[in-house]
Amino acid sequence: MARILIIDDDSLSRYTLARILESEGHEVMEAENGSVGMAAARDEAVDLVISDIIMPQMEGIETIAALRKLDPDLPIIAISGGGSLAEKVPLQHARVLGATHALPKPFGPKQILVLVRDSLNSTG
Amino acid sequence: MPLGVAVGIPYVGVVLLCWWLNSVLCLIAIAALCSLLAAAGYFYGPPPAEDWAALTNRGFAILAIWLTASLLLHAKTERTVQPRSQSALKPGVPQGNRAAAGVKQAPASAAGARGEPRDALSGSEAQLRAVFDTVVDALIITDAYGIVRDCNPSCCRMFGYRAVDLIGQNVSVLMGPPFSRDHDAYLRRYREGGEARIIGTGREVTALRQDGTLFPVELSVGEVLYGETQLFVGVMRDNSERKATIEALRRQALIFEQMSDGIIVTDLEGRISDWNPAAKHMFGYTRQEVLHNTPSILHHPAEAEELRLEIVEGVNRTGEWRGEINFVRKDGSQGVCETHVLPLYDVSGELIARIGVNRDLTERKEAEKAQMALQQQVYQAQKIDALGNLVGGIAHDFNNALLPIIGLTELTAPLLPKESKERTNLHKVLDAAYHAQDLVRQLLTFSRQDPPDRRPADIAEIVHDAIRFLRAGLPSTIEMIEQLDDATGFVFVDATQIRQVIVNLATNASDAMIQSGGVLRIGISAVELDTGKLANLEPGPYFRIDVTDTGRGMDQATIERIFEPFFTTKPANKGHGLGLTVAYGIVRGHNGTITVASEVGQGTRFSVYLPRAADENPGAGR
Repeated sequence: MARILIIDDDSLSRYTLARILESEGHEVMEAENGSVGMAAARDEAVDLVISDIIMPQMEGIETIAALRKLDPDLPIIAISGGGSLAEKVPLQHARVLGATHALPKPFGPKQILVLVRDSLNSTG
Repeated sequence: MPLGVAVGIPYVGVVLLCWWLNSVLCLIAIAALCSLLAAAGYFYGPPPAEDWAALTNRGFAILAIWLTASLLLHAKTERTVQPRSQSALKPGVPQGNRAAAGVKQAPASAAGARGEPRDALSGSEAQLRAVFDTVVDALIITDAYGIVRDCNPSCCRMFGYRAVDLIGQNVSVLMGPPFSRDHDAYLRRYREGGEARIIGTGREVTALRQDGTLFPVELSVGEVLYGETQLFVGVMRDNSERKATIEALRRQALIFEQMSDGIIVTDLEGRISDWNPAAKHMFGYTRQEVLHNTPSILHHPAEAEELRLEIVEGVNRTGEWRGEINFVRKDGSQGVCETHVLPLYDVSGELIARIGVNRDLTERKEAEKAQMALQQQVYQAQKIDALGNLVGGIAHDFNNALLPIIGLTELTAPLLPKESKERTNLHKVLDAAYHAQDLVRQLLTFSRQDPPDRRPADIAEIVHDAIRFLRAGLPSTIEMIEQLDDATGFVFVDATQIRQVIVNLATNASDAMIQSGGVLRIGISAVELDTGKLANLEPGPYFRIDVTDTGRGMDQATIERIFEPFFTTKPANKGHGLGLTVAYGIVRGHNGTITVASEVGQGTRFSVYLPRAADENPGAGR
């Protein structure tokens, strides 16, 4: 099982992701924005990061770029609400900047768990 | 009496007999012969008593002969004028001679006062003199050197000279350039070679008044021979007014011919009596075709009589009629013109005709209509773009909200017993959430947040695929006609999305005819768009996909809102109002647009414009 860091400003999204991941036996850490998430990634041993794209303080794109700089091998899944004009393109940028996968919200447990397994296997 | 003197008497008698001869040369010849005979008598006659006296007497005789001949010659020259042209001024010539000799011009009718014995003038001479003095045209008599010998009062009035100032001057003072310069040379050629350009013919020349002003005159010249004296009679008519009138008429005719307004002149019976080229251009009929017709040929039969009465009444009541008229051209096409009808009166104030001035407003009206349609399109596009941005923002929050609903419900439901009510309830929640997810996805398509996967594709294939898909679900009351032969070629599009556009439009069209049945046409044409032809579109080559139905059509208010999200004319639960919204969003995402034309009861046509790919086969070689 893996230690997975969820970075999302929406508490309900964090809660949902945590329950889905826990159902597979993963250990979940939560961060409400990019800065907190970066601190957690630096301080804790993290196997995978799931990060929203649109967030206050540190935008998702910057968070992903900073995480990739911190650990070039760290698997990252970028997620997004996919609504505003500025969001769809950053989701693609996130992949370019090093996100292993990108997934638009909303999604069910199966979709995210497939990507989690795939990300962990590719690095493990 | 000395013999020498006596001999002279018969010779003088012989010379006097020459009065009845018309020939001057004969007179001179006889005088010379008599002189010779008188001289010969001295040499061949009996010797005189005194030689010097005989010679003197013979000399006197010869002198008497020549004196008599000279008097006869002078008398004949004074009395005889032989006309050689159309001139009828025989009686005026003596006066001219007197004038040339320095005699002052006397009042016109007072022949006696001029020193002529009244009885010396014949009745006809007096009449001709009166004509000369009173005729309206200017008359002038000159000699072979161009010196003015006489002129009539009209000539003085015309040129501003007094007769006494003019007589004795060269006639060229009355001529404007280049005639004044050339006149002397002309006379010389005439004297030397007999070249006569204007004798007996009329021509227009430029004349010069004493005050220096130039004016046109019509001049005719006649030649007369007065004894051995050659004279010319010039008749002049001031052409200034006539020329001004002709020029004014010419200018007015030019205006009539060249003005851009169509002018129709009708007589009092309402028949067309004139028609300018602009009217031909405007209405398509030639002047010959409309002459003696009434203007009703230019109007719908149902409107023609009422319009005619309105115009006639308006002109009679207020002196004019103005209004906009719908007209029908010769080829059957229609137009609009602004018409101003005025009465035309003759010099006595009698109404003789009506003039209609027609300004073609067709192009202007069409341009205004197109401009309004364009503004409407811009407004529509701006409104829909604003809605798209709004929807995009809301969709983000919707997706965030849907994540826990879908995620947690999917996570929880399998944990409940399979047939339990709770698990069934959760599945209902999931159905609702998936539906909401689908709506959000469609809204995002409308707001163009989902970039199309664009590839080169054959437009005809895309449309044909969509039609094949549509045929399966079309009710038998609706006939579908495919018109794809007009244009084929490539577009750079997301084929799936464009198929969806056609399916959405065709479904909408089909729904409009579901009860009554009808015809659904789908066609493609290649078009070139000019600048400003359609709002938000760059000029250039496009494909236009027309989806036309014969359904119930839409009013203007419905057309204005037709692309708005959730706007629908369908019954509740029959449509969510996103089909056209999504279609519009997709097409705008491909740098195209959709226009709609509809009339209530007539049907609707949606036209999808998509940019044509520059290369006929843009995928080739990749």
